[in-house]
Amino acid sequence: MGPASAFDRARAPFEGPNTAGNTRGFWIGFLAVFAVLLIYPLLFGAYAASNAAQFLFSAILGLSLCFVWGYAGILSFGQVVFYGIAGYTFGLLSLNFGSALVTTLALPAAVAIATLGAFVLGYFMFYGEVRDVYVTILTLVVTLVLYTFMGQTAGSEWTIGSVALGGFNGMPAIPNLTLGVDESALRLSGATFYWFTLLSLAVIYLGLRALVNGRFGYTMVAVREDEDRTQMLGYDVRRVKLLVFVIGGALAGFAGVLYATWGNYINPDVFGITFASIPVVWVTVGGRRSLLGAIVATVAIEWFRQQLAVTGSQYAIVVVGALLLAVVLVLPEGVVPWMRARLRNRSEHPQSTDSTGVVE
Amino acid sequence: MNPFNLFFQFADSFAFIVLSAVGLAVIFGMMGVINLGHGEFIMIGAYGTTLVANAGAPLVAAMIVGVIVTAVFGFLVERTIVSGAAINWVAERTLGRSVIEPLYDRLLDSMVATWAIGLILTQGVRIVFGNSIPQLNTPLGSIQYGGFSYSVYRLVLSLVAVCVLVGLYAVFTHTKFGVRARATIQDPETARSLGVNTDEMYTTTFVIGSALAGLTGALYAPSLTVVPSMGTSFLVEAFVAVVVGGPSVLFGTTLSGGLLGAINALFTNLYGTFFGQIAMLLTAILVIRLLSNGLTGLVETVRDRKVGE
Amino acid sequence: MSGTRDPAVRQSPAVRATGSDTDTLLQTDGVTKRFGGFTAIDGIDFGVNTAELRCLIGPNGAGKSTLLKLITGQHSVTDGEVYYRGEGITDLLPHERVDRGIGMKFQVPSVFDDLTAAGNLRLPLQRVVTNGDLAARVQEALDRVGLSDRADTHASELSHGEQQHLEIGMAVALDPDLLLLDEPVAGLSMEERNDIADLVTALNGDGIAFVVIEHDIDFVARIADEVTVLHQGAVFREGPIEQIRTDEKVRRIYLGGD
Repeated sequence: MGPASAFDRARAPFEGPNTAGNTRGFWIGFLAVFAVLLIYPLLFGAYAASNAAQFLFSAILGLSLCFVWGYAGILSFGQVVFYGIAGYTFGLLSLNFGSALVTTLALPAAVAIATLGAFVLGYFMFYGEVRDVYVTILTLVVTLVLYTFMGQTAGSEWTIGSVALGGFNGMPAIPNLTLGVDESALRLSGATFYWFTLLSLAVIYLGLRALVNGRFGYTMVAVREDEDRTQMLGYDVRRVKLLVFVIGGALAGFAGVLYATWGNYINPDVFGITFASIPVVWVTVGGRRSLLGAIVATVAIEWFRQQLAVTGSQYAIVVVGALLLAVVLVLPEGVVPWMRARLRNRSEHPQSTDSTGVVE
Repeated sequence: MNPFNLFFQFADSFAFIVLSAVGLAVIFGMMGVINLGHGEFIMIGAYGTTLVANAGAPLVAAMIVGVIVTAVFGFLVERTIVSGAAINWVAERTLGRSVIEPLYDRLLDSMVATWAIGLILTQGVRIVFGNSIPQLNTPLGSIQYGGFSYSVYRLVLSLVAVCVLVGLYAVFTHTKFGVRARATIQDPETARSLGVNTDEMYTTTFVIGSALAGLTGALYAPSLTVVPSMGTSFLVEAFVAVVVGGPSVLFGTTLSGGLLGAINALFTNLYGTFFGQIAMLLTAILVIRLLSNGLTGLVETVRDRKVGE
Repeated sequence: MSGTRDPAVRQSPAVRATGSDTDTLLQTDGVTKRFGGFTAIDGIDFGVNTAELRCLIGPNGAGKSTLLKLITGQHSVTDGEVYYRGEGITDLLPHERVDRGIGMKFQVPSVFDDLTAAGNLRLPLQRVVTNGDLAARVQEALDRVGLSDRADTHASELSHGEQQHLEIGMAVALDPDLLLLDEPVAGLSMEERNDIADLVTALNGDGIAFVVIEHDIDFVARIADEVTVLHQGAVFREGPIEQIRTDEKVRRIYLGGD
């Protein structure tokens, strides 16, 4: 058995009709890009790596929305809720106790709290037969409730343990992400933080690919297409949606911890209406049914926003809004699936589709 | 607790909720389009009014200008983006095909598109007019009662809210337009076959919804701080009221304005503004959870039970 | 597949009356459905026996589709009870009723457009089959409804008749004891109608009971033993097809007079 067939067997679980990139060429390209990203800090230094890391954990937040919206049809404005909850939880735990051990454990603990939050909200909505647009509005309302609530926590009565929530001043001095139990613990910053984030993103991307191409992926697509129909095939649609929402919440929470430790700071703006809309922009532009599209669009848009912010331009959000509008109107499937269709039409005979053939 | 104080709070809160929601409710109920830029439409009405009044026009005239500006803006948005008609007209003549599917009944896409409009408007107004403009004074003064002072203008607004509801009810039940509009919602195909121009119905509805948003902005321009981001504070109340109200939009908006206004007034009186807001939002969440068809759905269920007995 | 049973099983009236009635598969007891003051279904007692093939006919708006949706649980009853194998299922959710053996084919062919024919059939099967022989079971299901050569075709690209076959195949894949079909031959050619009739008859021969809503009285005559006529939300007539066919009053409600 040659290395080529071993390679083919290794990629099999990540392929299927529900994602793009089911060819050997795609995976070679994937590994090449990953290799370049791995050596990026060595080429450009720790500062550049640290800056790039924020695009990567934003992409995890983008993936979380792509998963719940693109694959299960749940448009949630609330991904930032779990992002923020996890960030604040991490800050509270690590600042209150200060030891390396607690800071290490604060990562899974914060993700667990965010996941629990997603479970409670999801159970409340999906088992209460809240549907479609009402889910979207409810997630938006919850986001704004948290924004209002966190905004008024400036007073000293809003101190948990020895840490103040701080209202709009936010919570400063959140420690770096830490891996270890004592003084020898690894504190991630610069290049090490970048590598951790990059690896996490790769693992999450591959994990989601395996998930959406497996049994559960078929179920999700069915729920997205037609809930009544799926129900009449014996599926408990409520449970499917809850599970999707909880997984999405956990991923958003994980990204939120990375965010809080990256800038060592968090404030209520993570629950603000502008920030809540940004993941929707990423996923719409990239293509809501494309995991790869979500990553590419997140990185591109965030990089672009940063470039404009650096030059002091106020036009960033106007351009982002115009881009969003253009994509929804002209390319509702998103840019990446559109480019993929274009490329395929050019390289193959017109009208031919690959064996899986699904519009991603 | 002072009963007059409570009543004033209720009237104020009811007016705010109803005026925030009507424009959104009309567009959602008639067209199946959720206008997430609704708050920014209100902001346009407020800016139009404030700028014209600052230029020296009488307040009422400035308000009328604010409403008209928003209605015209709504017309442009409907023709170019929601229906795509204007863009498709150009595309058909240059590319030979239309490029935009109308957003009617594409709920999630319409939300994303109108959200984008809202983002552009907020930032666009900030770029053009800066973070603040000179504000208007609240007219009509205030009255004193039991140690509290109440703005007469805000009381007038609650009367206006009631008038708007009654007026809309009259338009949708007693005019030719209303009959056609209701036929269009019930069954667009049949309406078309009966000679109703449904395209025109949608455009008119969107313009009416926009004008109502403009009216809300104009009315609150003298009593709130007019800033680019002011739309958000209306948006939350508007959504909550429409969702809590349920499918029958006018009746629903009235009911939810009443319920949420009462909750808001009560908790504001007891524990302050912040808890008034939170209690209202929590009530909304509970209603959405417990009544999948909102308050009007509840009314229908009760009626069905009664028929059975 | 045996559904978990409610410890406090309510017995259907038929069971209570006779002590045991193994023949009755489904029984509705005075079910009523009102929508906002409009009574769509008005106190219907409707029964289906094991392995029976019963057609449900009636003019538009008679309440046929609504009755099916009350049986599947897609609509909740305003009043009355639904019994399946003697167990009260009125409060069960649709997927729980599916697990007890009730299948449904919708009026509009509603296959999943984003999936292939094989992908569609995989959906019901993957719940009950372990990974190893899933592919084999999907193939078997494709054979059963004559779609083996269309396995990798997108559902959206199948012909109308093929979509109907596919949808029946999906419902059958869960081995139901009762299958509800809402207008399975609407918009099909004569040849396609005959195919569906053969398929339904064959499946009925395997022991599956059917309730079929259909307007085409020739199709009904071809497949059905017994016919129930609904009119204005109530049972108007019930009996063998030949008798119903010649009934003056049935003819009259179809022609529009009350």
